[in-house]
Amino acid sequence: MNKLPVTLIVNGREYKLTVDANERLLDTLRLQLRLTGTKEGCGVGECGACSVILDGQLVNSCMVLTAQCDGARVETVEGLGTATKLHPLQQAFIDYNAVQCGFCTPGMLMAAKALLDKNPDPSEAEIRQGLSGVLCRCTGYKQIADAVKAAAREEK
Amino acid sequence: MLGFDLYRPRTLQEALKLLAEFKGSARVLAGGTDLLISLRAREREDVKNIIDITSLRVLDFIQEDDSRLRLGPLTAHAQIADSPHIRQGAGLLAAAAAAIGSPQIRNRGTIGGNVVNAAVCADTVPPLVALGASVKLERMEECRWLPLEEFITGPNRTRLEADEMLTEIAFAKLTATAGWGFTRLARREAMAIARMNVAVVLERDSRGRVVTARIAPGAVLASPARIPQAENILLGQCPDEALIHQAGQAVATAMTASGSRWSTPYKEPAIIALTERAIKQALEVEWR
Amino acid sequence: MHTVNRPVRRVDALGKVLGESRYGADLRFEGMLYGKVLRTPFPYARILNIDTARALALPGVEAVLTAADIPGLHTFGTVIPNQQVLAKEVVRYHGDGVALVAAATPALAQQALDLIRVQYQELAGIFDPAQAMAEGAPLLHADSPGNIAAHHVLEKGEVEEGFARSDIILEREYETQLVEHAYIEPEVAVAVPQAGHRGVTVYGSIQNPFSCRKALSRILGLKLNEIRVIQSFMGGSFGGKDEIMSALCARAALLALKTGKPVQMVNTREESIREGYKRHPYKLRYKVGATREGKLMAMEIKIIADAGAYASQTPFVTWRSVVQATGPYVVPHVRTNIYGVYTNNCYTGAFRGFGSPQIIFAQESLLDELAEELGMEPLELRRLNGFRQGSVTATGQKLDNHQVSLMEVLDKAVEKSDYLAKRRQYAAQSGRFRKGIGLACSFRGCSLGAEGVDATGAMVSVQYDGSVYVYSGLAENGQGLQTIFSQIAAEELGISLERVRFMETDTALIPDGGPTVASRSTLMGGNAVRLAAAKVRETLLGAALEKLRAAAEELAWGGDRIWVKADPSRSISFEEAVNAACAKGELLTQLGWYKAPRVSWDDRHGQGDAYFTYVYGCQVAEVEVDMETGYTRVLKITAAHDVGRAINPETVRGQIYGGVAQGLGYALLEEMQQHEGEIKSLNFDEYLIPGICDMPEIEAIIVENPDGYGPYGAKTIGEPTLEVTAPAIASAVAQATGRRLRQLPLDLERVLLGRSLQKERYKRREGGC
Ligand SMILES: Cc1cc2nc3c(=O)[nH]c(=O)nc-3n(C[C@H](O)[C@H](O)[C@H](O)COP(=O)(O)OP(=O)(O)OC[C@H]3O[C@@H](n4cnc5c(N)ncnc54)[C@H](O)[C@@H]3O)c2cc1C
Ligand code: FES
Ligand code: FES
Repeated sequence: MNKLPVTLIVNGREYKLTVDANERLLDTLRLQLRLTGTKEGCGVGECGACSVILDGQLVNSCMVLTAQCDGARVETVEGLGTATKLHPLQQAFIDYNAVQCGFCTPGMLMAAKALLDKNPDPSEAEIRQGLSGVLCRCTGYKQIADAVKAAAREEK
Repeated sequence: MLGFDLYRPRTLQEALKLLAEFKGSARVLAGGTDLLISLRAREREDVKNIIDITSLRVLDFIQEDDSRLRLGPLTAHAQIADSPHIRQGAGLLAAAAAAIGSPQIRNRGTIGGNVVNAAVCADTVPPLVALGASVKLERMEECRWLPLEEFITGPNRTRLEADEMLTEIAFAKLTATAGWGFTRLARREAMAIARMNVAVVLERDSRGRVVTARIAPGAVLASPARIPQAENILLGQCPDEALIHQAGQAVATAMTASGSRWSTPYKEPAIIALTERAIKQALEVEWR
Repeated sequence: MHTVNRPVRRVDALGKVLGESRYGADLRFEGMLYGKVLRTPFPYARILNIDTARALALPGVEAVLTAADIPGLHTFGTVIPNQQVLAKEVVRYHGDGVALVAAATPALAQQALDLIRVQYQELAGIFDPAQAMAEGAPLLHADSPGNIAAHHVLEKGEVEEGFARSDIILEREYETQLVEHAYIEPEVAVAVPQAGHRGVTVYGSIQNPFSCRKALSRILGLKLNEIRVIQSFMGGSFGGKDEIMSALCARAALLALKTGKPVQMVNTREESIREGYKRHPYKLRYKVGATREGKLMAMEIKIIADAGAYASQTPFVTWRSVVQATGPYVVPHVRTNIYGVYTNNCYTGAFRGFGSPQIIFAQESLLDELAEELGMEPLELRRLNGFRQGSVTATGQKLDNHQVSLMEVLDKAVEKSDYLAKRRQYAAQSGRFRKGIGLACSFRGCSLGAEGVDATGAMVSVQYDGSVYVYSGLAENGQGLQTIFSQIAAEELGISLERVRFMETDTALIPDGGPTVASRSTLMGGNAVRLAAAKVRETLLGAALEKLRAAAEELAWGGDRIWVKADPSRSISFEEAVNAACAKGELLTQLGWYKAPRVSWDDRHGQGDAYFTYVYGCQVAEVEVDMETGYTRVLKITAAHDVGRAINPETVRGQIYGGVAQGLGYALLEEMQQHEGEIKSLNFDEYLIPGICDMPEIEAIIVENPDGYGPYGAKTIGEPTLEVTAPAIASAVAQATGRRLRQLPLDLERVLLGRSLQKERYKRREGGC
């Protein structure tokens, strides 16, 4: 198996890395960069816990090879906000009790961000469509959808 | 995940050259939403070399001329679903692309991958068949075109040679008078593989008689095809409820004639309904 | 009350939205190795030989272990310790592990597994509980005649006489499916050898740190105080991260102790589903007798539960079933027999609901069917027979020590959902899409009941700057326990929630408080926290009295202050009270220990006061069925639940929405495919759980009847929310389609054809879409 040089811009910071040909973006983020906010729930594109924004597009980072991402910009939950300056989505997730176990939360947040980046004023149906690639087993989704709606209002 | 060597050619020529060199041991990697899954499941031990084509922007296009639409294989489902050209000229394809997986999968998965992977339930295939699409296959210094129905020969089987790449998908745009329908059945609302789907294109004359009918179901036959028996029922007629039902039955009959599986007792009545609804959509009549 | 009964924000939400909270897989230690387990390819086989030499020779592999390397016993289990951490002579199900590897990278560990050679002699497995119970069936566990893992009986009154006095008798069979917890986080364990002395510390997604520690002690041959189990953030559990975690932790610990290095083991989703226990599939036979007017006279029930390969929680799960099998209805004459039976299938155990979703599906469907036979509205039948204050349950327990609120939840759900009008409206429909509405209700015993010893502890420690630690023996599994417990401590101490810090459960710091199961955390653990905080408050009060020169009854607490009621200007801050107490050398750390009130049980007749209190719930489901494809959409769920008191209404709502989602999956989508002991739906592409677009509008109605036992009157909410959803949906589908389905789930095939095709799927060895 060959190794490839890759330059990644993750949350605005540039990394020059060498990766195995079969290394997934998810593993690079979690193991090499220690950005463990992005989670793995299935490894096959179904649960969305690994969702990140790659060059402006929401993707499952378990379904992308890092070597495919040379020069790409990656946004993860760690780049969303900080404890003192939360992103409106993060604040809304707290306020609307959209977090239970929290394992789907990073994926949900990134899916919601990708949605609002493209469509700042989504309908309930559009919110649900936008989040449909992330599974949550705890919340029944209602408070999550409510939080995204509130964050959209907030950002306006 | 299986181990492999990864190549990132900068030009199509380079990619084709690699394919030619590696003979059967290489695969093209597009969105990876099928290929990476099988590599992770350690299903493709024969694949030693992966040729990543995602940076070949020449393969990522939607072009429209007077009568035809041409798509690069790297066009992602999300692009197809959102493209005004496709919504106008091939609405059923846009509808199918919009129904695939999730936003994540639609951003990443490509039409080329969907076609070459050739799953029986691939959502873009029935619309492409109903649109009469052909695929362009290129190898070093050579290229050929095949109608899609000929290209896909069975479940996950195509006529793609080891050194060939799919480089374009093209079909005639629907005329302004054509109607289309696309229906799909899955176990849940989103993120669910289609159990069956049906694509229909109908054209009618000024008196409402069907002059062109193209009906292509998915996950019904081993390889994609139109169902002439169903189309003939509609041709020359002003379809009413009974006729539409007959057409649905003709699709079901074609399915059962091709063999019986565990799911047939369910699929038989369900495909009738799906076909009827797709036809009604194409006729723009209420089907609920 | 200033903190309790309010929708405060979750105390653990901030770290989670920042992506900073550390789950098991996020942990990393210096020199950490990666462990993997090799599992059997056969559901039932004798192990003849294991050759690990080639795996050991692989550079980067640091240990390869088999059952022969286990220092202690190779089995564990809460009730009947017959589960194997690694199979020794025989593998009993497709998830059994046979060998372990620790290597420098996960890929190397996987490579090493491929190099282990195991010789098996395949044995003829038993995959049908009825066959396992049959005379002469081979025994899967030598000490369990008839392959019976559990058998509970309940005898009340004279059943034969009850039937004799009935005008109508109905006999029905129902069946429920194998279901996966499907928490989004797969299991993880990290074991770290303790420096300087014998012992090991284990971190991970551990639902019950104390049962885990007990299993480890048995397997590793270490004392309890040589094992420290610390819970990481949990990515969901729902009852599912108990035995599987004991096994995973033990394996990681075996490898860590062998290599002297930290070892992390992370299951893939496929491994998690293959090995993890599931919800018991039940086959239920109900016979019911009633008078023409609809009075229930007698029920005779026989239930067979597939326990799979190991006992796990089967004895307790089936016990809850036997107690609640007749539902929240007065039935004078009852005979129930329930059997948990060993097979070579995937083993089954604790799962939110714990033996109730199955029986409630059957009993509520049965009541609907009876109503139909009687020409009655199902609601009326329930009003006629449902528990009221002072009613007597099937176990002979008189319900008089708490508010019996069945009628209240029923009325509220019916009213809010407009049930009666819609029921009439949907009675006669034609067309391709048909709607239906249905309801289901339940009662549920709180906490463990007569199942076992029921006591738990918590520690509240006030620091000299006025900040507070709370430690609990029960664990946060995502349900919001940290927040609830912090709220209770804050309430009791009259301080703001921000002062309170909840510490992760650590077996070294707090006494064994039993398992976090049976929705017992708020009731039991909440009481323990309250007791601990009250003791500290007592000490602080002493100090405040001196400072304010007032008598205890004259003082008021709240908002981080203590003041004299008559003269609020005479006040001190919480810090001042703390300082004063510290200056006197007082102890501001206290342990609270709460023992559940007495319950009783007579095993021979299944009679007694099974639980010390109960909750009641009712859900109404409205559906639309596509009559041509069987596709069912749930349009709305109205859920009314008596929670005693909602310590945090937002958390309660979250539990209702989440429970309904799982109940909806149970009703329509979820069925783990298993053929001859082999699990077929190994990932979320095959095992479908509800996504956001499948969820209907949910109207949550919180009913509050404070309970004498609960902290501030709080009881429980986690499980009741899930258990009534499926029967309510089934009832609505029956109205829409005019056909009652007696098997879950109501998938496309069952709804359209009235029967399942899944069994044929594997017989014909064909796949396809
Ligand atoms: C969670 C999930 C949900 C899904 N849902 C759906 C769904 O609803 N409907 C549906 O139809 N599909 C679905 N899929 C399948 C998949 O997303 C689609 O088939 C997708 O279009 C594949 O495209 P890709 O670019 O990802 O292909 P890849 O995985 O990159 O490639 C697939 C195959 O095609 C070959 N290939 C790709 N491009 C070319 C080319 N230009 N020339 C030659 N060979 C090529 C590859 O070598 C490989 O063999 C789903 C997949 C996942 C993981
Ligand atoms: S881990 Fe990537 S989608 Fe589940
Ligand atoms: S909060 Fe647990 S999976 Fe979503």
